[in-house]
Amino acid sequence: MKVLNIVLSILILLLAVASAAFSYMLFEKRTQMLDGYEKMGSQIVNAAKALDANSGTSVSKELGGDALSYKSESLDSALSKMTKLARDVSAERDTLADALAGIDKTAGGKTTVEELSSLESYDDAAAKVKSQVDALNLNRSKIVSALQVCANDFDIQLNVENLRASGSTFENEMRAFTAELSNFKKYKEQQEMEMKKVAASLGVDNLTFSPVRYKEDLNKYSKAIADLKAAKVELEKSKNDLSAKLESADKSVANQSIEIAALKKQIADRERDLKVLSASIKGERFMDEITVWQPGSVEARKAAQGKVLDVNKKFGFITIDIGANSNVQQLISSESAPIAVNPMIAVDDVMLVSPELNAADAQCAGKLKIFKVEGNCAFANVMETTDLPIKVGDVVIFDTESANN
Amino acid sequence: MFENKLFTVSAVVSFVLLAAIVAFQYMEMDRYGLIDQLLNK
Repeated sequence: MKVLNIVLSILILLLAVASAAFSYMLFEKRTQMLDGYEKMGSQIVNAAKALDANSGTSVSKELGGDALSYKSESLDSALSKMTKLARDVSAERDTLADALAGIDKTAGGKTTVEELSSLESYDDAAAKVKSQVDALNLNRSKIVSALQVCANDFDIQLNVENLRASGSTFENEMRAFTAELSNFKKYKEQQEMEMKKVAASLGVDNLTFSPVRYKEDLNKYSKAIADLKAAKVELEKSKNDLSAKLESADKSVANQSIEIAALKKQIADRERDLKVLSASIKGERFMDEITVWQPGSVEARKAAQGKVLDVNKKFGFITIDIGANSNVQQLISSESAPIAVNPMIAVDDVMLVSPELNAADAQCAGKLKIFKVEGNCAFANVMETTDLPIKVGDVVIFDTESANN
Repeated sequence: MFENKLFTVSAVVSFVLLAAIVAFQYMEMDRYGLIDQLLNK
């Protein structure tokens, strides 16, 4: 029994030593684990801070203090907040990656959502998306510049800022621009149609004004117009020749009219002399079959005769000595005094000018048109001239033939 | 002193308890890898 007790005591002693050693080792391990736990909590808070940055969340503050302590009663809820934050940020990453992939696809790129989500490839993928969008933006700028140049060429008002804007502002600007272009197309078509009609009337057919044949057709059109101008010049020349011939004939007729008038007067005088002689041979007293002229009558006007008082070379008008108060003398009988009759010269009356009224040398120097009548004179513009100059002293008579016409 | 019956009983009980404690501690140390650590030294 004694031996047993001694052995037991020794064993108990050994076990106690072993227990003390094990306890020390376990305590050390516990301390090490607690340190690790605290480091883990600290890293969780740091991770929460990193996730909170620019996310609009404040989970790291909720995890601070004793929230992650092993003594904390709310450890589970605190850790679940961290898990929820990580899930939210991950969901945000996936949404952004999906949006970026959509943008890249719209811009013509081929970047996938997986490339944008992966930590290994997201940087390069994001750079690709940015590059694609930059290229698209550059293309847009070039298109806007080209539209601006086009608008300037066509004198169309175009607001570049509105083209860079979005929504209705952009649509309204583009709608106005395309409407102006449509108008230009319409004007061009109408112009070409009119040009085709003109060309067809000039004998030039098959004009299309297509882009391929535009220059050739335009040359044909220009040539047709040039030919028309040349024909016009020829016609003008012919017209001038005919006008000169007609004018010459008119002068000849006028001269002959004056000559006829002088001859008629001579015949009338001869007839009257014949009647006077016949009456005196018969011993009778000659009485003219005279009707009293009325003021302004053709007879009074035929008897009227004036002279050119002045030729105003500066202003081109002629002054004659027949006026509103001028009279012609009508001889009623040899015994009685002649009576005065007013030929009633008026504005717009046409008068003939001749240097000499003698029938043999009668020539017309021109036609006058009265534009102002004074008491004893009148002013007239020159309507027609001949080779003879109108000069002071020329005889002026009423153009009764024209008046009758 | 070693011939006392009561001593013997208390020694046996103490031995059993200490053996249980050491066994528990051994299991804990094995759980945390300390046994392997000790054996590998």
